[in-house]
Amino acid sequence: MKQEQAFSVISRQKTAGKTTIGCFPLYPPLEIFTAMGLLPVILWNLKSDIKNFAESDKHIQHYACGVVRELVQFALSDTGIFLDGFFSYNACDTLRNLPEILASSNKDAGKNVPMLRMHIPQVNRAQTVPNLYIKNEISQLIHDIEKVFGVVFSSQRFHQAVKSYTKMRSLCIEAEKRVAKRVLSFSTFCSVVLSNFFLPVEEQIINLMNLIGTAENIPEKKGTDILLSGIMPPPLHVMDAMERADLRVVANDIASLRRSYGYSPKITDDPGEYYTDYFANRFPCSTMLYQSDTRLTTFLDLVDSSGARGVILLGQKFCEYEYFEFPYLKKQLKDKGIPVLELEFGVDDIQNTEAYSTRIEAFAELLA
Amino acid sequence: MAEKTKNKAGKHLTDILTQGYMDLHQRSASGAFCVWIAINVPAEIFAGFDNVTYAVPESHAAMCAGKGIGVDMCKKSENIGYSMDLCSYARIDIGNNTDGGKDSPTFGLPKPDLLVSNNNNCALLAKWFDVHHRTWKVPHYIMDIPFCYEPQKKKDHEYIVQQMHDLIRLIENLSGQIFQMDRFSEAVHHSWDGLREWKRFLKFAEHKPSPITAFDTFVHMAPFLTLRGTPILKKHITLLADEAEERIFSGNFPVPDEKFRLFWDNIAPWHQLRKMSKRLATLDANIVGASYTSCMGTIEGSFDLFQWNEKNPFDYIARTMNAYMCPHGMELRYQSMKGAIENLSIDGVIFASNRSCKPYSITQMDQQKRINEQSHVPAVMIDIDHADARKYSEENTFLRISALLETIAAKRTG
Repeated sequence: MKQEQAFSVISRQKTAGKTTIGCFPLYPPLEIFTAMGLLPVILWNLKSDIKNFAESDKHIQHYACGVVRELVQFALSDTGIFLDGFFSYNACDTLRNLPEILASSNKDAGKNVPMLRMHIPQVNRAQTVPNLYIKNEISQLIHDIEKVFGVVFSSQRFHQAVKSYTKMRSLCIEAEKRVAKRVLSFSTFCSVVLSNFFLPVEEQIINLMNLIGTAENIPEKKGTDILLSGIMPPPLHVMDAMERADLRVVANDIASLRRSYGYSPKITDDPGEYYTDYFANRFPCSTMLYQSDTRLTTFLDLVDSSGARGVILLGQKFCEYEYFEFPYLKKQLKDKGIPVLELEFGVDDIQNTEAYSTRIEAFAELLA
Repeated sequence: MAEKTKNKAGKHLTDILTQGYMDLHQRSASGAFCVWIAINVPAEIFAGFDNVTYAVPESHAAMCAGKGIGVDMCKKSENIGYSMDLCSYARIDIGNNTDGGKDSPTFGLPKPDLLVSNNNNCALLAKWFDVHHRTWKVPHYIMDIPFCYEPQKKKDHEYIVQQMHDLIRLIENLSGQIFQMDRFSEAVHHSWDGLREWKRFLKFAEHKPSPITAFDTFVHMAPFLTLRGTPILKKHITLLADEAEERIFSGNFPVPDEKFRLFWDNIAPWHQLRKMSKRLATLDANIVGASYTSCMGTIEGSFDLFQWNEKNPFDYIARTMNAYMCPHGMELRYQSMKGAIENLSIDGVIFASNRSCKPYSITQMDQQKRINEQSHVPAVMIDIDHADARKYSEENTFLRISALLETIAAKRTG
């Protein structure tokens, strides 16, 4: 199933009168924006909107990852016209430069697009307690949103937003279980979850409920169980190749999937408490520096608990965060006797599709 | 070009670096608590303890690259699965650890008891040090330094100070040693003395022709990394600055017929220092300054020395945490560079787009445009890798530099 283009989804929302905030990277405080009547859209997985890199190439070298180049291209070309503001937090060495690149480029084009930011503490919680700092950052962000967009924060609406996002995340996990039973295709699941990045949370819930509904009463299909790990799901043609090879995605450790919806904090109307909990306990990701120990154990536990017979590491070319961990992960998996296939994707992964298919087929044969 | 022989400062540098690595190995072997740090970590803290020593993998990697063994070291890490797209410092360092520093000019680094990285000069340092954390099974403390798009904020400053205290407590717990404030304060004063001399040294580049090159600054910054907080630092930089001053009086300039005064933005290509400086000199071009070495001792937005009131050393260290490698926003970096262009009478800027350093490189395309349009100074972008010579083409580089020099010459003739 092909994902709907971000631009068309966002433009529909804009027509409905939504003020849209382009957020990056993957784990922004969505509940705050929603509670304040804004539409946060996560600027990720934008490949289907990108025809070329003309705008990005004016600012970003070719040795930046595809995620960044696509994001810049999307934001600075016609596809970005419906974005009323940006929000970013500290992430990798490339992404941290984008707020100023986007701001300065918009300024040159005569556009004043507000830029909101916060710093998510990266200290190991056993060594330094950053709770006060996080609470201050959240308060400051709320203050900035109020000032820039003329909206008002309310604890009650925040509480409601938290409940909605909690439900959305639990539905993602429900849908993921159906993928594991192979009554729902992984590509359809990805398509819905990733399209949801551009929608209000209420619509996300409806889409997920519909998705789960389509998977009811379908007999479970067998296949060879695998786990996928990486920043992004693989391109559609690679997912198709997996389906053809009878590989069943019983679990994923993908940043835009499980790492995004894998944990919901306790429901509260206090944003400071909520995000202190969220950032301390969220499903570990390689992009959160303080989670490196828990990330590796969580990953290996997931492999064990899912019963995956093989692991496919989905490398995003030039993503240092992921590539520093791959050798260790491969060694741990090898010690467990679990075969690993490492694939690499970049801006040109639409090419050489046969090469990917061949490697996946060979991997499936190995597992069989 | 004046014949380059090793001057007093050059010989002194070799002596103190050699002695520094020998001391590091000897003290560690005798039971000192050994910390591996990233370059922005305030090493003065370790002087506050009786028997804590520290090593700097980045500096060691740069030295390996400078000695021409960077590529071989990189290959060692690539052979165990590390991607060639990762930072070449990290690849050298990880490669070095695969065989206990067998090919290292310093016999590698002693086993660490603690790793301390920071994420403001680059966040990948934390991932890189995690590799050692898993290998050596020792704690890893990440100093989390909020990135400055604007001058450092009070809340961030307080957060950094909090972390320094937490780090001290961690070392006390791990090493069983007690932190002594007076010794820490003394070490910060030593660094401060060294930085004042460093700024005196850099200022000589304002003279025409310049008695120094950016390559001198690259080479002689090493003590700020490995001998931070020691009296040797000041002694060395004073010698260096005195020698530069002497060259003005004696008329012994590195590029005697200096026609083009250039400025360098990014880390040095350590594997090319000698070749690049020689070839530039044949073109009567001198890179007289570099953002990489100018930002030491400064705060965001200016290359001027940040003036310490010599009171609270924690405050001072926290305030200057953005001093190595210019880890701050594009606008602040432009302001610093603009000042340097004016002070040093710069004719052109070389933006070295460094595949191994995204935090330094990613804003350079915008920065180049701004330098051209707002400072009206021609600029060129070249492709380098700071430690992996396989990713560097001398001919392509000099083709672009020659074009820059032609542009400067054409601009002069109007």
